[in-house]
Amino acid sequence: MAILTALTSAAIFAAAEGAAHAEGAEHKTGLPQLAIETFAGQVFWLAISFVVLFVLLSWVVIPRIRGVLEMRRDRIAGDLAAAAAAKAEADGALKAYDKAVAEARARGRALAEETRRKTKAESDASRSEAEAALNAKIAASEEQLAAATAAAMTNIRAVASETAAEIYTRLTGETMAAPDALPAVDAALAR
Amino acid sequence: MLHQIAGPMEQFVIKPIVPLHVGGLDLSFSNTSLWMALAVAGVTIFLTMGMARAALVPGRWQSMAEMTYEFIANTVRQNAGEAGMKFFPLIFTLFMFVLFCNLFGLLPYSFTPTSHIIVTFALAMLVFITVIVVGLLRHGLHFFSLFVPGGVPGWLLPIIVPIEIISFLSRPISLSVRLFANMLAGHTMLKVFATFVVSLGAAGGIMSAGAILPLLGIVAVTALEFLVAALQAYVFAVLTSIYLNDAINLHEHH
Repeated sequence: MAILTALTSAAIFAAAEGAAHAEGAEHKTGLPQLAIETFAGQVFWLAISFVVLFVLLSWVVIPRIRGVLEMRRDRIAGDLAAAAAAKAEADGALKAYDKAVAEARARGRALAEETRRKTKAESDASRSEAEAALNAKIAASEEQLAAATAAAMTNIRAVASETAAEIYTRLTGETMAAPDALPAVDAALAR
Repeated sequence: MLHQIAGPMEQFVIKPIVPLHVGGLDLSFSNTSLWMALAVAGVTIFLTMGMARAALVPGRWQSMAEMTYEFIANTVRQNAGEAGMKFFPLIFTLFMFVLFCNLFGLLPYSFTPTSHIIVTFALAMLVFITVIVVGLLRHGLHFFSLFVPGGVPGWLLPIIVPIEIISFLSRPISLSVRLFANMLAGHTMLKVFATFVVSLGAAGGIMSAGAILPLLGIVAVTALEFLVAALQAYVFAVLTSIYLNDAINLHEHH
């Protein structure tokens, strides 16, 4: 670029020099822009200024601004990535939490079920035990009752036959042993 | 009265400050050289001081420097593509130099280097020669296919090709005249309005009251000139990008 500027200025120097010789100082009173004798100086200082500015900008200023812009872009990209990572982490944590809650809930349900089952089994067992005991008692009572009834029946036969024999003796005057009256008593009881 | 006031063209006169003559050439350090140097200093201060802290979160000044950079970077990228970014330093330098020359030229008692055709022409030639050199280096002789637009019927080529060549060759002229003429016209207009203010004010009576109109005109034109100063620097940068795009990509547009 510097070479180009220098080339350009050199070309214009030459042109300006030629023109300046040809036209002399005629333009002093005319448009200052056409005062050809000033061209060489203007282009010379333009070239110096422009090259200085070009060097300053391309060596110092542009790298610095570019560096800051890149740093900012990297930083923003980095922050976005960190935010995305944090979000993923939070999502993971949420998922893990949900899973833990679901697991705990399932475990709780299982525990409750288990407890209920155990309690029911225990109560069933104690109830059947109680029922068995009760049934045994009922059976024993019934047995006792049957024994008592049988005993009572035996006594009734003895008493009835004795009474019948006594009545017979008194009525007829004939003696009758109690066991002889038994068949008649049994027949009467069976009726 | 009027002849005592400086003419509207007097502001453009080159006045040597430090005389320097080399081989019959007048290379004196003049008012234009001074304001070119000040523009260089201004750009450097604006861009280096703003970036001095190079903070992650920019302040106002750093923001302005960065926005200027990104504005031109985007312009180059849009017009010349990613390959054109190789020439970003050149285009950025052109833009900043022209911008600061134009803006400093609006200061009272200053001088506008870009109001001289030779300065703008030298800058335009720099662009023009860069385009040709880059085009030839990248595409060799194929670069001249630039003058043969695609999709044009063969019988039209004898007409189209000379037109393309002329339009290509006139680029440095249009590029330099556009900038120079804008600066010249704006500053001349300001001076003319200022002259009206002084002459009407000096005329006395009701005429003096009339001086307010050109004064308001100056205010309006000054505001306009700030816009033109920035706009012309931008136009210079955009056109440079577009011309470089031709050299880099021939007919493909970005």
